[in-house]
Amino acid sequence: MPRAPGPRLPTMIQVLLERKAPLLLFAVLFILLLVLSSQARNPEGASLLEALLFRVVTPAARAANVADGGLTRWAEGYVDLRLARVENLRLKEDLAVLRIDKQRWEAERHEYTRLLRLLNLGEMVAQPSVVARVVSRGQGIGANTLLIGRGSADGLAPNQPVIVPEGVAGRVIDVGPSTAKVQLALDPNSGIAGLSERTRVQGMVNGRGGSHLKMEYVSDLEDVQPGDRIVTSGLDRIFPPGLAVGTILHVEHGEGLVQSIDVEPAVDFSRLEEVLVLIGPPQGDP
Amino acid sequence: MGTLGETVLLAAASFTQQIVLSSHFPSLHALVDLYLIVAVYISITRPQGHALVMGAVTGLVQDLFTQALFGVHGFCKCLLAFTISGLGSKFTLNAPVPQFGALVIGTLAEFGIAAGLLATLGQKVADPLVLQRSLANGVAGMLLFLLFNRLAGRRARAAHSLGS
Repeated sequence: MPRAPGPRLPTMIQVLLERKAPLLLFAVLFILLLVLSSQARNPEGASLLEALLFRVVTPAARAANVADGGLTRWAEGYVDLRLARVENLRLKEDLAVLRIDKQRWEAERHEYTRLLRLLNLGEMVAQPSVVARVVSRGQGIGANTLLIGRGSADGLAPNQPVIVPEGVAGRVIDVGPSTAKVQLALDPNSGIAGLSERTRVQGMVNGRGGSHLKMEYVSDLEDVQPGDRIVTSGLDRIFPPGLAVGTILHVEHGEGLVQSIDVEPAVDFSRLEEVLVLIGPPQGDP
Repeated sequence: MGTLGETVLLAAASFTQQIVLSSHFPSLHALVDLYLIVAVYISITRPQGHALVMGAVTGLVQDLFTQALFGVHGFCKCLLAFTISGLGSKFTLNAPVPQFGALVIGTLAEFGIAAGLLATLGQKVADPLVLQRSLANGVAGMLLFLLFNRLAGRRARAAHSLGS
């Protein structure tokens, strides 16, 4: 079936029909759509042309919107990432500061607890007292001494007892205007009148220069046993009675008339930070 | 067949479809679409530009006699003619079998395009006979194409003998 040439048509129209068919198709379809559109409207009231354009344009617009949204999200993500990095650095700095603050607050809380216990101790002993902070510790031959941040201006005087909630720490041996030196119970020159809480056997608790104390002048006939708690007797007229000194670790019956008694101190002298100095006679004492 | 012949053919198809078939063969009228057959024939025998214009004209003529929106058939047949003519320039559609296929597929495609257009307007389109119509158009088209070719061949021979 041979294709017949288009006869008797003007040249322009012939060229249009034969070479520009797609364009012509588009034009004819568009005209027909206009014709249809002028007659019909969909339930929403839009003409066919509007409805078709809407159908065509909407997905394209949606795709463009999605692409635009993706691009925007990517850009926002990048900016957010940059901001997050800056914020992260700032938060790390804040965290470091807060950690330091937390450590300080923890230290202050512990200090508060210790001071509260000392205050309670002061009220318990019913004796005028001041709380003193440990300024420094002795070294070498003076290792069993402390320097505290209270002095004569605060009412401190030599031979005043220095205690902590756990028990006896020592006594004041030297006083300056604002500081004082404390001889710890561990010092070989220290002596505390003590007694066994269980049997009321009395003796003198002295330092040995080491980490332990010794209780002396206890008759070989007296009943003392490891584990017995030693408290102050008050007979030395320095320490009030009833303060914890330590616990008997070992009892040895020697060749003489007295026993050799090792006492573990009630106080951990290496951890002293604040102490209570009893600066006056017991209340009610004449 | 020139434009005049096509116009005559279209007029004849219209007369047959709307007067003869609708009055005397209502069953055939419901199944056979002579406008489509004419449009496909022109598409096979003519270039794309010419085919799409004639397709649109054929469809618009059909629209004049149908209750559909004016332009629906014109739109569909224009698109259909353009497509078939384009295929005809690449594949051989001169044999009966490809022509049958073009008619069947053309019927279905026209229904699909029209349904899409009308659905855009919110109108529901249903044609339970579309498959039967496509087959009927295929068979009727093949027979008519033979007739058209014979007429075209006789006319060409007459022109040749006059020229010689």
